[in-house]
Amino acid sequence: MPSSLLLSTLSPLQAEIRQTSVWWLPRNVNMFGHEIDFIFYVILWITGITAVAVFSVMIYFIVKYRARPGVPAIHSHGNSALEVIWTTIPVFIFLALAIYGNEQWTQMRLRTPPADALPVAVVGEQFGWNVRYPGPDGKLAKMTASKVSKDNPFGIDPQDPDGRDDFTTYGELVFPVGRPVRLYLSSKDVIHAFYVPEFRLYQDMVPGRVYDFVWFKAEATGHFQLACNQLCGQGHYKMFGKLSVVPEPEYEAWAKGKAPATTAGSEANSSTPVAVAGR
Amino acid sequence: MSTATLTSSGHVPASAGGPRFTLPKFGMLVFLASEAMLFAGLIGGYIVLRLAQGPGNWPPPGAPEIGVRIPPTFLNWVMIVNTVILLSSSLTFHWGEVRMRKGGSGLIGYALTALLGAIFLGVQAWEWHHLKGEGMWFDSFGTYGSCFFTMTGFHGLHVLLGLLGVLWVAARAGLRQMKLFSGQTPNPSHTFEELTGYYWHFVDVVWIFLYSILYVL
Amino acid sequence: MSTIAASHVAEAHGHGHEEATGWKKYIWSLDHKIIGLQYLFTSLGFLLVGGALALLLRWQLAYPSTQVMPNGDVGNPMSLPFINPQFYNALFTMHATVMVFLVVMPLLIGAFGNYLIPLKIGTGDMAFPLINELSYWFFLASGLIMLAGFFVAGGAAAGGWTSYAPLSTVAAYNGTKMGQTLWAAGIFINGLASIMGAFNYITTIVNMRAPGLGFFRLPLTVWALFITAFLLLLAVPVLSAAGAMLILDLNFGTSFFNPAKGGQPLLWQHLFWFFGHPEVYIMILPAMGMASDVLSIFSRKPIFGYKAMVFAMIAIGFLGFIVWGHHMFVSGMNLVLSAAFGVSTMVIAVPSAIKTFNWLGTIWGGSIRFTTAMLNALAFVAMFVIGGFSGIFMASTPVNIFVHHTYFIVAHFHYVLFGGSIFAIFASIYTWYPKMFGRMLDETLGKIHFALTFVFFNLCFFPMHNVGLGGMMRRIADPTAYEHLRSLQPINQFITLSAIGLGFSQLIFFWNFFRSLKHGQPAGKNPWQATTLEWTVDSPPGHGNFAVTPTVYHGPYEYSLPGHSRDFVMQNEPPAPDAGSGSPARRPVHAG
Repeated sequence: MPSSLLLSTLSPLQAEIRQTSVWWLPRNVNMFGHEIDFIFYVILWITGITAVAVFSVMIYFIVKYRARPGVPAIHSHGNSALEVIWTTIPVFIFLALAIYGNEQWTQMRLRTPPADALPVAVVGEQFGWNVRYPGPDGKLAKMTASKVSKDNPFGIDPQDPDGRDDFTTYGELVFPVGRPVRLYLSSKDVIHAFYVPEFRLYQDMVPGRVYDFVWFKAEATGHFQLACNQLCGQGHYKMFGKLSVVPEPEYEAWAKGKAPATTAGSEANSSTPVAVAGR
Repeated sequence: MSTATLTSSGHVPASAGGPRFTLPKFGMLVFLASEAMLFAGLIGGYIVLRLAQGPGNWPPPGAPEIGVRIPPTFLNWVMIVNTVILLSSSLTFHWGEVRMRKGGSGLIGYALTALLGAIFLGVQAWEWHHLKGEGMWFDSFGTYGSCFFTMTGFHGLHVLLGLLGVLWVAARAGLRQMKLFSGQTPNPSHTFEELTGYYWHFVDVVWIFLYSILYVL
Repeated sequence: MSTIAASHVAEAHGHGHEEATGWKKYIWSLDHKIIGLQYLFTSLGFLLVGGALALLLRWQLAYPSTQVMPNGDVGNPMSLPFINPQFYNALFTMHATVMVFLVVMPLLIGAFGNYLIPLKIGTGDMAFPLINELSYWFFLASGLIMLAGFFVAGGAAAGGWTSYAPLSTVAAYNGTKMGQTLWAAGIFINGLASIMGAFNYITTIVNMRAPGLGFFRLPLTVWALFITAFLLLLAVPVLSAAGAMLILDLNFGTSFFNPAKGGQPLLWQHLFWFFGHPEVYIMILPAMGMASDVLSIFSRKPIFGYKAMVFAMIAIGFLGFIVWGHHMFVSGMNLVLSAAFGVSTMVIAVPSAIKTFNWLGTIWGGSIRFTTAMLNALAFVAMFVIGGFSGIFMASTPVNIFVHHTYFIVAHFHYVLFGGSIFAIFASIYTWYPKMFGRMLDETLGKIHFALTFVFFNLCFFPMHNVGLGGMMRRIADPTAYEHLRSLQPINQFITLSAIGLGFSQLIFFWNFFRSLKHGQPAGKNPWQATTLEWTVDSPPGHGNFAVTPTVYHGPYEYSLPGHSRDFVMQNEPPAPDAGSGSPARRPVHAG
């Protein structure tokens, strides 16, 4: 297959996206991403060095101990001291990795989100994203997983005063830079997943449950794609959403331009389903 | 170092001969470990689903009450008696085996076992029918109906399979009895009886677990 | 009483059954060797099916039929228009299902387990030959039932081989009610076949070893299959229970996994992965055992640290049951539990590391013969190292948040399953083909096949690490639909071309395999000068295997023993009269 044919299938348009790090980790904009990248590189160095060592030894043995006439193999059933050494060292390395990883896991997942975090509800459905933002009061209506239904994707109580000024979008997320965001994740039908590689963030969204432990803080502005990363049916491959990180004033302006949701569920039908557009 | 130390479980390799755990019995025990995991999977799922409903929602409002009450309801009595019937069928089977080993046919014990097993299945079918009449089925009352019918159904299928085995055992016992009457030597192999016995006792033990979690706890 | 027991022995051993002849041999034969060959041929057939599915799905990823071209047209001009997104989902679902349940498991356990266990432990047949044959027919039926999904309304199951609920359990969500039901039914029947095999193997290995063959004189292949059988025995029924629940949910309105009616979607994941993680080791342990044997034979050296190898496998077997949660770190499962699973997962990496070091120790100081079998076994070690290392990234809970469900994991498990299991299977086929058919495979063709497979394998799967780290999700029918993935498309196309090369390289193997049945060099009893009992009998062994039950005097790996004329000592070779009871290795019997 000539390489020109390969390249011909790539349009100039496609080439201009993602100018840096095109075949490696995408840039990171989440405060927790630094830790994830750090552990990633620690493991990469440990495994990389070990792999080089193992393969070097292996190749050396393969060359040195190739069968030659008159040179018999050594008769050896093993060496207990060596066994102890190469059992103990991995135990310590792996335990250290597990302990350090758990520390970070605790920071990311088990720490209570800051009080000033912006609450945002995202409820997946085949094949799009219902998004609910708090209005000026900064509070989201309370979500109850068992109340999630076709007409009430967020499972809220229509009488909930906190929900009066909430506004919704479909497939469009805008976050202010530098402010913590706390997600409330759920699903209307099957399991979806909230995945943004630049945020180093993946979380399943399971129907019947509301997950409120995911939070993050974007450290840079930019436009990203939110992708569903849990197989959810035939439209799964194009269940994506728009995700932007903008300066706080820009976010405020965007939020002001959105009309409050009048009822619990009309928003899903009134806005344009971004993810399924063009099917 | 004798050959007796060859295996950790004290079994001597077959070719060495001599008294031992026969292969079919050994295989059956190993197989029953697998069967136990099947029910462990079902029971584990039941526990998860039940705990997820929270206290007070199990059984869900409006569902027929099958749990043991004080004083027991009619349905409670039926299932208590049915449980006693199934458990006593293990005793009758054992009695049959004892008689058989002593040179008898064990026919009465085996036939009683088959009869009790059939009664158990019949009552089980009646219970299903009764509950269905009260609106409870695989697809009603959420996971409550799903769990009850699936678990008793799986067990019922195992009892049915065991019952077929017991019927065959009883038929063999009948043949043995006829040979004894006519002064002939009956078939010396008790393998099939022993295997069926293991299976039948296993099915009874599973019922103790199922009865405990579905009806009592 | 003793006569009764003896009659059972005869009944059970299978020495009692007649040798079937002609075509009947391949339908009714109870001989473990025939059953092993039935498994071998059938699963090689399924390998072609699974490979074809893989190539189709790779083609779609390189040239998506849904790609929007610069001029606005939908569909890459090179795409296959019949691959729509739903069919693509069915392709990867069935590719994984076929490869896991119909290729790797039956090749390792069905084919080599059946063929080698009785031969290696010095007995005539399995404990329960009839159940053994039944297991094969259940396996075949399960495969046909699963593949029948392609021909029913809605198409084959398309929920991934993990079939996460409620996508898999609500017809309105998946659109493949019939295909999904057939999938679950196939899994259930396949499970029955596995369980039949498992208790048969356990009974056989515990009870029917030749005199003198203590547990610690068993070849590692037998040890590995023994431990694998326990994993099958205890893990598979849980999947069967889950599969039954899936069928009931999908067809009879139960609500085990349906949250709309009080069910728990995560229950499916727990049940599936309680099976699924032992399953991972089910697919690698026998490969480890057989690769160990091959490394020892062709290095002319005893296994380095035999007991460490055995205990490492036992440890893997135990730990394999308490790490399933590491597939669910980001499912929303209890977060503290996730941390615990993270630790147990790191711990289970230790025995694998021990095994790798011992393999290196085995070739150290050897006199290495670079046969095709040995090359494949060495490749197994190298690829397993890479696959094991990429697993450490996923085991780290924070990194898992990023790499979960990306192509990084796809690269990881193909390095373990193809790079590990399949290379070990090739090594085993080259090693035991002469025993099975009495003829040698062609070494030149074998080496060409090995070189092409090794190169294309790495060209195909290594770049998947990069694609995954670049953020590409698995299970998407069209990466070009995502702006952030478009820069990765050249790699995707490169991977596809490598996959095609990899796929077509296998034709050399099939050619070699079938040609050598008639035209291969005659093998003789012991072409590799190996020590274990299967090499003491004819190739192929006759019905009943051993004319006289062998007595074992040695461990399984007595290569290059000083003071012997040959560089190997057969396990059943009586010790020289003057050797007496010198070293422990030469004692006629030692406690197991």
